Amino acid sequence: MKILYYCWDEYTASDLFEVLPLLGHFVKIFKCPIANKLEDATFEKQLLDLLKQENYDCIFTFNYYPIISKTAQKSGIKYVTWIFDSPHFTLYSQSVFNNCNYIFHFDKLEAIRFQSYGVKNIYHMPLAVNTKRLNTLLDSVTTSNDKKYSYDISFLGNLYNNEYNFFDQVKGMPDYYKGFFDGIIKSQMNIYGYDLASDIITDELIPEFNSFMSVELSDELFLNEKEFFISLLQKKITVVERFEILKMISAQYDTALFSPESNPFLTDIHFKGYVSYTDEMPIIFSDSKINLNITLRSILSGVPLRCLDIMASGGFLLSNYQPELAEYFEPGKELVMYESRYDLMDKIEYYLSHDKEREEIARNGKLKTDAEFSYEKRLTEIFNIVQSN
Amino acid sequence: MNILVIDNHNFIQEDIIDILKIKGHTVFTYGHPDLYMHKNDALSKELSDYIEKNNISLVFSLNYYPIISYVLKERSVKYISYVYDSPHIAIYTCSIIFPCNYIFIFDYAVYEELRKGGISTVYYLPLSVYNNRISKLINKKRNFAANYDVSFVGGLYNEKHNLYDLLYDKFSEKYEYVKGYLDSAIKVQSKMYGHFFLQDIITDDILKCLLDAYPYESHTDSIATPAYVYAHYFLARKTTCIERTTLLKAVSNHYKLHLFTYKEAPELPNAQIHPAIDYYDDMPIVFNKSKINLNITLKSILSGIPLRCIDIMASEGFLLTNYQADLLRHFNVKEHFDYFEDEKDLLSKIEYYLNHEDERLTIAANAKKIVEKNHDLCEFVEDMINFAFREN
Repeated sequence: MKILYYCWDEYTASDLFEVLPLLGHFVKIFKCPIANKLEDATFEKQLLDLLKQENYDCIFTFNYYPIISKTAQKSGIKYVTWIFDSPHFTLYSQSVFNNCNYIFHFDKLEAIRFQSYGVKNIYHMPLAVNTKRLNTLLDSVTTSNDKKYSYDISFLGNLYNNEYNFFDQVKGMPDYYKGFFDGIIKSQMNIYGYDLASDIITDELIPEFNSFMSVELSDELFLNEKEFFISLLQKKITVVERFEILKMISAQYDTALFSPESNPFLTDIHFKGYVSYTDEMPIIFSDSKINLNITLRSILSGVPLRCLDIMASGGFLLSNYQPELAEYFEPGKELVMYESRYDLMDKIEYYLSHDKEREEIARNGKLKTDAEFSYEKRLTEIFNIVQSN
Repeated sequence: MNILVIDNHNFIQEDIIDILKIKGHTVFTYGHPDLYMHKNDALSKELSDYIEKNNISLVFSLNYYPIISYVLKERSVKYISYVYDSPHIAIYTCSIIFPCNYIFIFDYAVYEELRKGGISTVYYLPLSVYNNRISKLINKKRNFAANYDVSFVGGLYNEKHNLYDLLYDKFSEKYEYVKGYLDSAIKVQSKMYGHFFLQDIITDDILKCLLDAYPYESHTDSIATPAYVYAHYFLARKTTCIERTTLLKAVSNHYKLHLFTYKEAPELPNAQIHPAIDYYDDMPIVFNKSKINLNITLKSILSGIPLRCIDIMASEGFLLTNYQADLLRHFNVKEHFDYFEDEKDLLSKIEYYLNHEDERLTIAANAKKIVEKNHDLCEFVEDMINFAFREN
């Protein structure tokens, strides 16, 4: 296919530029800042001009851009998008119903939800990795068979210290509701694989919340306030959870944090700063005895890209329980999942002292990821669907 | 053998006395309002004298009494306790390890926790009923006219002295945060089966506030922490109250719900309220004459099968219950009972079973058979005694 690839500097872009041509596609890269993802006349004109110059079969983006969908709809061209964030608020744009869209969502429950809203061309599609690139990179650094590790436990990810503390910024939130939200957060941290926030934040509560906090949502979005509050709460839970787990683990074990920023209260952690996705990250995963994944609580079922990155780098993955991880991988054989904090601590203790078993699991995890989660395989599936319709 | 049965006004003690007599034992009964105390020298002396005077070889109680265990340890007399409450804080005392004890616990999760902690005097034994008595009663009243669609026998835990409400009332304004915190956590727990987490959410800060508002002092020999007590006694009951009220309200809005309870239930205007019924004479009949019998377990029962479930099945009633892990150890879903996972599931299963009489009746008949075979109090009493005396 002749693909116009809109690139917004997502770190998965270079892998696609490499793999798509291998699958026989022609790829033209298009970069241009978007001022407003819903409406942007300047951007739209640029895109239309490009589409006039050449005869493209489709436009492709990671994540969903309403302005692109609208332009594609007008031009009668297919818009293919692969979602790797959840929640992804732009999907709530009315444009999501456009029949030019081919939306591939990495989270099965989200895909089902949008299907229930009447969105026709939305499919579940797990994420993928560039296995060839990773293998070449890893081969170049592997020197001997006797494996030495630089890190006992590594966590690579954002702590969202500043980004998502919406709740902390609400001035005048009554103490009762501060407690109410904290009670949900604390409860949720005891439970995996089941989203409480959606059960507890009911419609009746919204007017109560509105007396001390309000959100302004664009008319174009059909996202309601309840869903918005729920996603805020899920993010807040993740912030608290990542911090508390890292605090607990680093008090007892050598723990390295790879992240743009640390938290001053994580006094025992070895803070290593930001690392590059393509060159440094795979080496770290392969160089750590245990790689921890703590999924964003707003990802209800899907396999986060980080998990695939870890396994494809030959790293041992210890993750929270996540439904699709359990569906695609064999827990205890290809990866390990924890179901509570006690369980997490038990499993860290166990796998730090059982090298053979741990390395066997990492090997199996890599075999499965290489075989089932390569870009070749997933992109073939995606474009088969796009071309068959 | 001379056996002393402790009289503590529980449901099945009459059955146990009958059974022991039938088996040829000489039964003595002894009760005292202060038996719950962990230490009472006068009472210990009285009990000890009583045991000596009557040449008692075995003491049998429903639930566990540390004070009895202390006396029996001194006298080297065996003590069988059949625990049917959960939580049962009395087992978290130092006396639990005394070799005179044979403590049979119906809640597997509690048993497992104690065993993991190295306590070897506890055993897992589900609850059981006197099938013979129940069958006779049901056969006698086959023609009893009442016929209920959906029945629930039990309290709503909406009593004025609900511990949580007492606690809640005592929170002054400076504790608004704690109110909100506990309210949302309880709401979450009320929707969750198979996992009791309320003890885990009591952080040090929250505990400080709880102790301040409603001080709890544990017995000196108790190993139960205040957080355990607040979670299992205060918060679990409130959770059950919310859960039972919410579910029964939903049921009564769609179906004819008969509620057999000991006090008024203004929260459920659409339910038909009946006064509390007698455990021995009336309850089996109600179960037998109801199309669907609901069970909503007290939240502090972690995995155990409540006596109510066994009663329902023994009465050849159809049981629709919340999920309890131990049920699956002993019974098969859709063969002996069915369970619901949430409100929506409960309503759809009621709808289904009201419209599938054959299936319902088959399940109820199977349930009766398996309870007669595997949960018979006569057999269990004999087994417990044989077990306690197995070395001799």
